[in-house]
Parts: sequence; C-alpha cells; structure tokens
Amino acid sequence: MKKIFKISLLALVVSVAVSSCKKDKTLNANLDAIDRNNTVKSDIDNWLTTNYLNPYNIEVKYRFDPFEADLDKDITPPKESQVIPAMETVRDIWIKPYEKVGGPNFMKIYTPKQFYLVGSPSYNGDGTITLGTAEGGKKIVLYVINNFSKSNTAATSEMIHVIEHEFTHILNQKVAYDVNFDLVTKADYTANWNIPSQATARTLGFITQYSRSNPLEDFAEMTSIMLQYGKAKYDATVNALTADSQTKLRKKEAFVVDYFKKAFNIDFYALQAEVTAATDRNAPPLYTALGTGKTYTTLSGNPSTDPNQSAEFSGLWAAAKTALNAQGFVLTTYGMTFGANNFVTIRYTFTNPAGTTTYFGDADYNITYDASGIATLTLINPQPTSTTYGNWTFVRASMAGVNNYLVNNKFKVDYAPNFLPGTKGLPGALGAFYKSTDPTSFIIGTLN
Amino acid sequence: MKKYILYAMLSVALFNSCKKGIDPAPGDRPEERTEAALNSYKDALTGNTNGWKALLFPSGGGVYLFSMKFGTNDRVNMISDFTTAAASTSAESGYRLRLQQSPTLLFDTYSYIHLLADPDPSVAGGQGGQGYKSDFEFYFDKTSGDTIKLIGNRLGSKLFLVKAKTAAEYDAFPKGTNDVLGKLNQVRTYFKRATIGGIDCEVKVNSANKELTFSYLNGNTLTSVTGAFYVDGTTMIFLNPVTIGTAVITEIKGVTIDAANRIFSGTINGTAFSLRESITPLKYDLTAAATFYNSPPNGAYWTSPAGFTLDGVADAYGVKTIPSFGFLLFYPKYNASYSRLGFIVNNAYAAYGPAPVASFPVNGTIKFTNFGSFGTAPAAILPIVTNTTNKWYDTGGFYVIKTGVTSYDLVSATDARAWTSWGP
Repeated sequence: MKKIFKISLLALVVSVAVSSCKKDKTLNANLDAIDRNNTVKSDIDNWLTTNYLNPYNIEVKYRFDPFEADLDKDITPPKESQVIPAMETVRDIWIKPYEKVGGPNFMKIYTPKQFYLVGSPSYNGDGTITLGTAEGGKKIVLYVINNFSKSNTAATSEMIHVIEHEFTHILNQKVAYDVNFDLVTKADYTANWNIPSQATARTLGFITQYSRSNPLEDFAEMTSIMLQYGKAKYDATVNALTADSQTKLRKKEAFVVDYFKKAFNIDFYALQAEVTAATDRNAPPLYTALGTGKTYTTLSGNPSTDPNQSAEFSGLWAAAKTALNAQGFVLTTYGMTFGANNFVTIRYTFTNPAGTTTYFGDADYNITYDASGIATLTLINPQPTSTTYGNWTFVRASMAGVNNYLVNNKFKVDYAPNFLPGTKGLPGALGAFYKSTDPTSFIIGTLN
Repeated sequence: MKKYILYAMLSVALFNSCKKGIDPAPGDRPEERTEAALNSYKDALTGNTNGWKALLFPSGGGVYLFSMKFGTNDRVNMISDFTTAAASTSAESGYRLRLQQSPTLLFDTYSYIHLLADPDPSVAGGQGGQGYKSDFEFYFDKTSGDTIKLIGNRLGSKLFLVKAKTAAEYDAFPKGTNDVLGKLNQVRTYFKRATIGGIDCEVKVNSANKELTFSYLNGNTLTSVTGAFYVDGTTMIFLNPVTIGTAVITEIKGVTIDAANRIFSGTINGTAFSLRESITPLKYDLTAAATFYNSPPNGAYWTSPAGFTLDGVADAYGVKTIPSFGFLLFYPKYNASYSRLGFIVNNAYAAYGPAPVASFPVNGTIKFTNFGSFGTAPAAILPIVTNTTNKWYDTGGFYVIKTGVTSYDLVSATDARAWTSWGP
C-alpha cells in the first residue's frame, strides 16, 4: 500500500513537471467590440459629462438601450434636441435645491447613479401611462422627454413632480420611513386608484389619485407634490378640504417633514422654498407667455375688490365706476384676452343696478413689445360693430380715464408684486401691467 | 507491480493531458468573430456613398419609404415619405451596430423612423401604446446583391436597404409615392375607369392608405380588390399581387400623367394601361338614394367630418376652418316639410345652413332644392357656407354610393368632380 502511494506520488511529481505547460493568452476578451456602448462623443455627451458625470457621478443615458426599460413596451428614444434642456431643468430644480439645503455632498451620496431618458410615454394595460420609474436606489427612468418644453411650466412642473417622486423612492430605499405613516389612511388604498377622481382621493385624505395605490407611493406623492406645488399652493389645496381630510394630510405631511429631518437632517420647508424659487426662476418671462397657444390667454380682475391695487389705477377705476353709475350701470370687472399676432381684446363687464343682467363692452387693441419686453397698447381702428363693441362705445366716455391710462402709457408686463411663490408660469398666477415709468402704478389681475 | 506501473502511467496521462492542439471553437474567439461581423456590416452600411433606399414594412401593415445615409461617426441622415416635409428635410440622429441577440442595427436617438413606433397617438397617429407597430432595432437577416434585409427585434417589422445608385435616386425615393398620388389626383372625377386584361374596372384611390381599389363586374355583381402600393422611380409596386379576372398585377411600370387630357397611364404586364375620368359609375344601385334618405344608422341623421372634396382636394371649401367646427350633419327628416344640412359648431347647430328638400329622379340619384335657410352665417365664414350650400343644390343631383355597412358617398352627378362622405 505504501508503495502504491509512493509510486503514485512519483507519478504525480512527474506529471506536474511534465504538464506544467504554459498558457500564453490572457483571459481578457474585449467585450467593447460587442456591446459598443462607447460611441463617438457628441456635444451632448460632453455636456452631460461636465454637468452630471464629473460633479455627481451620474450617467445620463439617452441613446436607446432596450434593456434599460420595459422590454415588453413600445417606447421610443428621445429627440437629441430635448436632452440638454430637460437635464438643465432637472439640475436646476431638483439637484441644486437639495444641494443648498442638504449640503454640497448630499446629492453626491444619495442621487441615483443613472438616468435613462425615454422620448415617449410608456402605456400600461389599464390605459394609464408611466412617466417615471425608480429602481433599487440606483436608477431613474424618465419618460415623455420629447414633450418637454422649458417654456411650458406646467410640463416642467410635471417632470419635476416625477423626479421628486422617484427620488423619494430612492431615499426610502436607503432609509426607511416611519411605518406609522401607512396607518393614517390605511383603509383607502386601492389597486384601482386611477378610476375614482382626484377630488375623491383628496376627500379621503390623499394628495393625488396615485397616492391611493399603496403607502409607498403615497409617501412619494406627498413629498413630490409638496415640493412641486410649493408651500402656498399646497396649503391652499389642503385648506380647501374638509376638516377630516385636512387632519389626515397634515398628519402625513408631519411624517414627511420628520423623515427628512431625522434621516438626512434636511429642513423640508427650507427645501420646499428652494424648489419653489427654482421653479419660478425657470418660468418664461411673462410677456413671452401671452397669446393663443401660449401659457396664458387671459388676464382679468376686479380692481374694486382685489387686494394690492396701485393707487393710480384704482383711482381711475373708481372714477370710471362713479361715471358709469351716473349712466345707470354698475362696473364690475375687466378682462384682457390675448389672441394671435399681438391681438388683445379688453373687455369691461358691467351690470344693471339690480345685478340681474350682465353686459360686456369690448375693444380690440394691438399689443407690441420692444426688445426689453416693454408693451405698448394701440386701439385698433375701426373696431368691429357687433353688440359688445357697441356697448364699449356706450361706456367709452365713462371709462375714459382707464382707456387713456392703457394707451398713453408703456407697460412692463410681469408677475404681480404679490404673486404666490411657485405659481409663475402656471394657471391662476397673478400678473400685472406696470407703468414703465413708475413701477408703483399698475393693473393687476389673474392669469389664465 | 505491473499494475502499479499502469497506475503510474495512468496518472501521468491523467495529469498531463494539457493539449494545445484541439480548440473547442475553431477559428477566432466569439467576440472576435462578432466584431468582425459587426465591422463588415458597418463597412457595408457606410460604404455606399449614395446612401440607401430603405423600405420599412411595419408589423402593423403598410410600407413607408426612407432614404438613409450612414456615417462612420455613428450618425445617420434620413428623409422619409411619412410627411411631405420629412420627404425633403433631412434629419440626423444616432445609430449603432451592436450585438443584442444577434448583430443589430439600432436607431438609437429619435428620427423619422421612430414616428411609426411612437406609442403616443398625438405625435403621428397610430394606436395608443403601439403606434403603427413598427421597430427601430433590427437584426441582419440576409444580404443579397445590392439589398440588405433586416428584421425588427421586437415586433418583426421588415426593413430592406437597397443601394441608391445616384444621389438623385436617394433624394427622389421618399417622394415617389406622393408624387404618383398627386398624378392620380389629376384624374379629377370620383369615378375613374381603366381596362385591365379586357375587363372594365372602376378604380378608387385612397391617398391616406396609399391603396388602389379595383372594382369590376363579375357577371352582374361588382367585385372589388384592393392593393397597397409604393413607388420606386416611376414604377408602382403592389405589396401583394392584385388579381382582376385572370390578370395578376404586381406592378405598374412607367407611370405618367397626361395633364391636359387627364389620363394617367403606364404598363401592366407589358400592356398599356390608362386611367381616365368618368362621370358615371360602372354599376349603380338604384335603391341606394332612398336607403340613404330613409335609413340613417341612428334613425335620425348622417354626419360628415369634412365638407366637399373637389377635384381631389379634401374639404375644398374649408368647413373645417370654421372656428370650433365639429362636423356636417344631414338630417333627412328634420321635419315634415324639409331636411337640414347643419353645421355643428361647439356641439350645437350653428344658426345658419340650408333647409333642403330632397327629390328622387328616376335615374336613382338624390337631388336637393332650396326650401330656405336657418340664418345667415357671419361674414368671415359666409363664403364657406355659401359654397357648400350651392354645391348641395347641384342641379344634376348626386349619385349615392355605398362605401361600407353604414357609410355612403354623395357624388355630384353633373361632373363627378365633387363628393362628400357620410357616416353614422
């Protein structure tokens, strides 16, 4: 037995000696040849490297790769022209505010490491569309990049909503939120969240329809809506609800605020204010946003009752009101309707003394802007002859002060001095025509 | 002892079996071969300086024409017949050759080819979530002669790349189909006649779907065959052969238009073919007018999304330009004494439009006479309403042509150059 062992040992030694043949080739197959993710660098790639990869170690992938998103969905890559504008907005409204409130390193640690951009929406079987997804704290997929437009604040705001929502998921994937959050409205989560209306959802204590899908989404929706709306709009939204819904939403809000403080030492309200300020900075100058097919088509108000009137204009309005009273009518509101090709119709609304019949007095103007956006109104001559234009002729003498104010001044068109933060570029914002020579004299109204 | 030696030898053999001679995968390594394949495809794509004529057959049906030029810098330029603008404005985007399941040509940023795959119907039409069921990632199927055939990775659409011989051919390719449709439109009448293989045919052109429908009498019944086509140069090529009687048509060669005489001609299977204007239908259903008048599908009225097509120009009077216009509505039995041709604006009757009275001449047409009107239209749109009304009172009346289960076309019997389409 020993011998066998010895012989075997000998054989082993011999065989090792003989068989130690050399392997020259190293096992470094060059897989770049197959995958070819390294394409020729374009200006877009360089911009993304400078603005995302270098400072935050975030890869922004916009070239189509079927394996980055749902393989079973029909989706398209984004238009190249959309990539930089979209990612500029993402940087300004999403990254910068967190950086400011959470410290310069916060985003370097917590951002997902990859953005994947998709041009189209992703359609789901139930008729809803997906606007964004987040995966494992690592990646955010943003859809509908092709519909993005910087000057369309509503769309920008929706995109920020999506990012803040997905980023909340990612933060939740790093630090879990207090499970007691799930109990606030636990009976009303439903898989068919998209069928009952948003009003129903809010009555039940949910900020959006999607909040109802499950507590995780609810938490993300609470965070993202508070950031998207800004404090003023969020408070107004909540305060308009029933006491019960208010209590529930305020409770959820407290969980969110508490989560950000405890998990990341972030003052949520300060963050909210930063996001709001960034959104407002991103909004287009107001004078470029008026007219058919643009953000706003009307500016209207009631100078007698709306707050924050300028002394000069409210004086003129009061005088017009008195004069019209003498004609036997009650002046109520004014409205400007912005059309195409610098066309604007200014309408005075007035009623009979009983307030039972309403009359409209219309006049058409041309509105032109100089290079710095200063507007000049010119009455168009001749005016149309239909009833409302006839009414304008009827009140013209009484309205003389207001009419002259309009045509004898030049105006800087901008948001009103008392505009609510976070509303710039969105319906319902307050706008004003400031006298170019005297910024304390203006016409103020609601934009829609 | 012998055994031990045997064992020793066995173990030597066992441990020593490091052979260099046998390669389990002879030739280059897989990644080398893949690289070689990808490189050869790329060389082929970029090698043709005049670019490629590309035919895309989405899995959803139809054919779309492109011309594409692939650069060595991973950029592709293309023009497309998807819109008139796209046929002349070149768009640049990215492309890549990459190994997915097999060597794949990937159009990786948005261009014309993605319009067909866009799932958002507001972008370019198609179905929500699907678009036209088209691909933009294709694997190489085979190469034959000057053609590379590719198949969509996801949906199986087909993409044929054919070498463009000249720069002119590259530019003209996506314009060909619209060009021929424009020529067909110069044959102005609703009824167009041709003789194919000795059989009289009525030919209908569907510009939107790029289809020709041939109707002919088979005994006493009217038989219709429809063929979608595309155009390469001056040849119309049918996607599937169209059979009329015994004649099988795969293509119409050398198509031209005689603009003065309004005759569209070419050759089919070596025989001259001409398409001419005709003001009467090949076969006419004498009961159609009465059915149209008496039996709207909802029991009350017919609707038309646009007004009259005139000499092939859709909505020639521009009813769709009336602000907030919805549709035209024909209510045959609006009341006991007259009908109503209503302009539906803001979801209600606009306060104008004619009150016609219908009559049914023995030739089976329907004819409208003026009973009055529902008011005068505002000056800005008055010409639209007046033109539409006057045409409605065409003294020759209208042929009523059934085009579907619940759809009819009214075709001016005077010259067959004006018609409207009605549905539920």
